[in-house]
Amino acid sequence: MLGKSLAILVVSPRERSGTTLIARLFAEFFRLAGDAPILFDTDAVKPKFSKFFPEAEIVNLDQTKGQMRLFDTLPMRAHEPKIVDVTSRVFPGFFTLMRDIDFVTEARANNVEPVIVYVPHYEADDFERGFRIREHFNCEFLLAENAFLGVAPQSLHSVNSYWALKAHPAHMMIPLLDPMNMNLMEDERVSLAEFLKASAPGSAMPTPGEKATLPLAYLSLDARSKIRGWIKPSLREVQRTVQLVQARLNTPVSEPQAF
Amino acid sequence: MAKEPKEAKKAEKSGGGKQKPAVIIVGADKGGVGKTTVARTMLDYFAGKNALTRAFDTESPRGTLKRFHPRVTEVVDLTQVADQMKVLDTLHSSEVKVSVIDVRAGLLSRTLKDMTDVGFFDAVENGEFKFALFHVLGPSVASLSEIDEMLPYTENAEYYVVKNHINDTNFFEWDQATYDRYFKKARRTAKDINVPKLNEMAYEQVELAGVPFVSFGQNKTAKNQKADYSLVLRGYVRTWEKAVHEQYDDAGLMEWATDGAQAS
Repeated sequence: MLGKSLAILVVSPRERSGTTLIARLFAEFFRLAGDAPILFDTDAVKPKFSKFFPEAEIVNLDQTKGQMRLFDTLPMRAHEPKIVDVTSRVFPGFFTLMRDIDFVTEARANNVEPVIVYVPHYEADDFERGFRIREHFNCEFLLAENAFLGVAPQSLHSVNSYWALKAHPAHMMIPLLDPMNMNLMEDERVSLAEFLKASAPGSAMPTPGEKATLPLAYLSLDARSKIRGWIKPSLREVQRTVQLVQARLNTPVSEPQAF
Repeated sequence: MAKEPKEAKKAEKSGGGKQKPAVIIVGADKGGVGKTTVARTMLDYFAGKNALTRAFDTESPRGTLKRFHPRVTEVVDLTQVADQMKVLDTLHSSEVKVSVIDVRAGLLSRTLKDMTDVGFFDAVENGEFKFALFHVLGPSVASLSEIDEMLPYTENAEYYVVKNHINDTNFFEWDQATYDRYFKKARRTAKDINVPKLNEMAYEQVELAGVPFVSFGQNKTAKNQKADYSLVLRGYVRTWEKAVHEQYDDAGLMEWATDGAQAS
């Protein structure tokens, strides 16, 4: 990809928000678009993202060396996109560091645009924090609502920052998948894009030898269809929002192969 | 020639014509408390405010301060009369009105005594010069006893007590009550400056680069060319030095040194 490259920072102030899943979707999307994204897993205690992508680098942001490894690499002039799964454990320190080192300015000076993908729970605090982050960092901001986290309670409707973020132009919604099938998606051997390809109508049925690389192959047609029906719109959401950001930045848009 | 009256008027208007020479001594009798680090932040501070400053490094012949600020720093041996003259006899004649003297460890008391002997403090009392002492204290209670020795020299001076945490992660052993006791008898107080801790790796990299903190933060080499320092470490240095400079601002250092003549 020529033009500006994106440094996608998937963040949430809380655990179990789906940041790893969303980071996976971005990584898979860019791979489908022919890129080789540079991936970082910031959970040095219980790394998760890197289990799905062994090439992802685990960085310990509690240590200066880890901070340097991440933030000195992100603004490099590589044309490849970068995706960072930011664990909630490092959430406050991550933004303090980003602010203190003036990361956004440095990245832009190197033709890299930071994109904060913010995944809130439906809590007033989360929307307030997200609002403050958006206002402070003045870079691309993407609100990612995760349907697994339920729906906004009535009490949120009186919170200004909730409406401010809901009205944010770059906004994505990760659809719901039933919990049983979602558990299967946690299998670290599963590549979402590979699954789509292998489960496409008309594709050859897996042979026993393929089971090792495609563990979902034993699923019923119904389950495969449901999972497919979740992956496709999720990737489309990613595609839509990535292309929206790229259009705003006046940079060539990523065109994935059909999925 | 035709420009002279205009320039003179401009200088008078800005207060430049009336600016009294200011001497700032950064020192401590104890070694390893970070005197030179404090002097370096001070030179960056004045440079950032466009206030011309000259510096004297008494760590003769090595000159640590000169290594970081070679353009404005001269290495002197203040135990020698010739070098005392070089510093003090030029206070009036120099275009640069702010002089920062980084006094090497163990020489602070002696330097102040020598300056007394040559009449410097009389001149301060007569309003010819301004004098500020940045007394850098270590974390031990013992370092507080230095205050007693310094107080006689601070009668007509600005006295800043600098607690430097940069080289030491330990908490200061002494508390506020102990500290206050040292000033009670002098019936005066010092202005406090707290230099926060700087990330060790960042400090080390600035040492290796041999540039002012501000240049490191701006990713520049000693020759003012683009460097390749770590973004993270640069950020740490910028944030840290900003915090130090805010304390200088709060203490009114700029206004004091330049008689409010030079704005940032």
